[in-house]
Amino acid sequence: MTRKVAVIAAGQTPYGTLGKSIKSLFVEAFDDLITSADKELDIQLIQEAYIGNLGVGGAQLGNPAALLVEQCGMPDIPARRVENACASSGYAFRDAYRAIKNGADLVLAGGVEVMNDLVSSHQRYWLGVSGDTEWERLAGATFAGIYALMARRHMHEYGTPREALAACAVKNHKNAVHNPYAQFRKEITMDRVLSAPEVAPPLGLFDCCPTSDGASAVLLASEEFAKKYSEQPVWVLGSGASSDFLAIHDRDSITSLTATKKAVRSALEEANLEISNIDFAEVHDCFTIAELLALEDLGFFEKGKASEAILEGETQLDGSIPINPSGGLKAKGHPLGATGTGQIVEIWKQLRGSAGKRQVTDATTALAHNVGGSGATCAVHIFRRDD
Amino acid sequence: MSITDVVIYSPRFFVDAKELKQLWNLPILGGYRRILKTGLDENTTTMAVNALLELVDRIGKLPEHLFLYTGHGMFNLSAFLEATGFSEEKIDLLPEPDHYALVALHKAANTKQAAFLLVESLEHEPPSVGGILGSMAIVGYNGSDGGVECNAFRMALGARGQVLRYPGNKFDIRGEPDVLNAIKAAVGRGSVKVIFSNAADLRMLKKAIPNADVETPAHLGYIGSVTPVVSYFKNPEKLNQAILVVADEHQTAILKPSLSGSVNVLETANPRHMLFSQYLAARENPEGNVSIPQGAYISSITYFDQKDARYRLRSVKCLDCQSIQFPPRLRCKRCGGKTEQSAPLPRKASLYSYTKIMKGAAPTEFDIQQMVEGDYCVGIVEFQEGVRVITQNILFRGHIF
Repeated sequence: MTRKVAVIAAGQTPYGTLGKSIKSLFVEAFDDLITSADKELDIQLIQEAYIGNLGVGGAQLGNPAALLVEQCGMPDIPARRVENACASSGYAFRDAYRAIKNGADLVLAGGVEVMNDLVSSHQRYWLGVSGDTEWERLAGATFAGIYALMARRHMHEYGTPREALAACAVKNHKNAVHNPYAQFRKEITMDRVLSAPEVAPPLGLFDCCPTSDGASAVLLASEEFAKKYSEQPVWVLGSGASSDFLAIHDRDSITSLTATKKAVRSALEEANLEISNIDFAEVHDCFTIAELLALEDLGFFEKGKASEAILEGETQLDGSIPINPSGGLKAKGHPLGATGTGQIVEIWKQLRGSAGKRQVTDATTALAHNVGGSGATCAVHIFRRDD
Repeated sequence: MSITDVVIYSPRFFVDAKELKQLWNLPILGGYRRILKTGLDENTTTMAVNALLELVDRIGKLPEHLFLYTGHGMFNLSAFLEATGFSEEKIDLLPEPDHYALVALHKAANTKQAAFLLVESLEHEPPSVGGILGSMAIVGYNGSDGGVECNAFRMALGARGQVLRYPGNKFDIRGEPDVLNAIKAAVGRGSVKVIFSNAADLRMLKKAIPNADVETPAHLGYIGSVTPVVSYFKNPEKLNQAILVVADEHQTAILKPSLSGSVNVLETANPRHMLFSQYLAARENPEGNVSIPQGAYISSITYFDQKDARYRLRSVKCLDCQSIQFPPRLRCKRCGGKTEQSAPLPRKASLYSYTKIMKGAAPTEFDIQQMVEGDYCVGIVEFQEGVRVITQNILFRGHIF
């Protein structure tokens, strides 16, 4: 598989409570994608589509991928929905990447979710379905609860201070101020995070990502097409993915996500890079503890050492390894099925130097980390711009 | 004595108006002034299994026959059979109407080596019923091997008809002279307690027969036809002077029992199965251990697929690498080898991690629990290295979390 793969266009809707249907959202993201391209694109050249979606607020639509591509004006291209909980579009991207590797020239990957058209009780019912329903859910655990169990154990094993978790939220809110697509564009203070109402101790309200509507889409191309249609393609150097036990009690460790470790190892191997070559990353911070775990599991910091690095500011926009310049799931928002390719939209902008005031300076290589549920699925991708 | 052993399985949440008032200092408005609630997800099937397994543990064998009343609910017989190991031909299924609860009791009392099992859950009734929610499973056993005293459960009404039918879709006791006459006759014979299941008609009954000593079992709440039976077993001193009345809009059954001995009323010891006030007390002075939570929104089929794990903490062992695993799985999580059933895990474990699901943040099927308890704890416990499960109700350092 020596064919090179590039991202040649990427777009998204803002994230938030949008009051729009999945059709409107996805077409909006697609239009944004078309606008982002360097040269005029003939959309009829797109050969295939992979669309991440968990379930449109539990509405359980069948065949949404066909609906979405016909709405975009491509009624006959083969399309399918990819469902891997919150990692749906990370996996949609991986499938699109492999399609190019296998001979395709132009493939669409994207994701969409509408979460805010549900009454809150239906939301609370629906949001737990991506974990283990037979034991976790029967014990009354929520996702916040599952991540809280990880956080508590991490604190127990490594002495992780509560403030390190809070610092992730503070930093992500700060980054999102400069992201016009973010759901929350307001800074918050450490005090505010620490004194917020508890959701599942040690996690409080500001340790949790919001529920969001939104869509995102990226266009992948072969080397030939990339050179033809893009002046500044963003190359995909590696793709890695892994599954893990669905239920948290089945895992040997709950202080790291094994799926993240395995996925990043495959991605780095394929890219022929070390983690130290990565300049910044968009990681899956559905809860603050998830960002901390990602920093350790991806290999940016040794196990048990991330909290120190976070508190010293190393993950800030101007730190040694900027994490979530977009604001992350915490502040940019988390429309489940749209999140994975949404991270790649941010990387596309950053690597092309068009991220405005949240621009990471001198970045050539970046990583996207997308997790499903509490870590049962994970997709990692590595990107680089031409020097 | 005909019925030799009884287990009453009352679900975990069991709150009456007085307790609610104490808990929240709120005025309790009209209607049915009590709430009786299944634990989260418990339903007639799981309660029936729990009750019968408890009885089987006690008597050491499956009864020869079972008279099973399932109420109006959605009872999953195949799941029940699978979970208990009972065969279908040994069951007389007596679903609605309501009076069949008493029929089941009556039949079991007249059949040796038989059990009756009554389950009722009103969880799915609309709030218009009066905001009440109720559930109960009660199982009893007639283990005597001869000389069954039929008199023990003799129906009070003549023609052995026991059941009165009457037209209309609304039960009004004033319009039912036969029912009234039967009760009047019984009251006339002496000091008789009438235990009445239909609280809505209680006032009218009191008016019609002023000298009757009537009660609805307020401490139990209204759980349809099972209520008077439960009350009956909970008040052994009243056994010689009670009439049980079960009525709904279709028919009425009246049972006049005349037990000569006392009935051994045994509730399951699990802290999940008690009055809420007792539950709170148990928190202060607990005795208990790891208790695996019951189901939520998964199908009965899925739920009972792991029945041995849920009810007995049964683990599996890998035939290849010998590692013990829980919850059970068909193939080993370490090496992929096939597994076989292994010993139950000990009910003692160490606490691996914990959190609290704060009020308002729980999955919707736990709303009632949060209404009753507020925040609740969820933890992971470790039985031995690597063998863990997530659960509620952990007894830790003297407290149940």
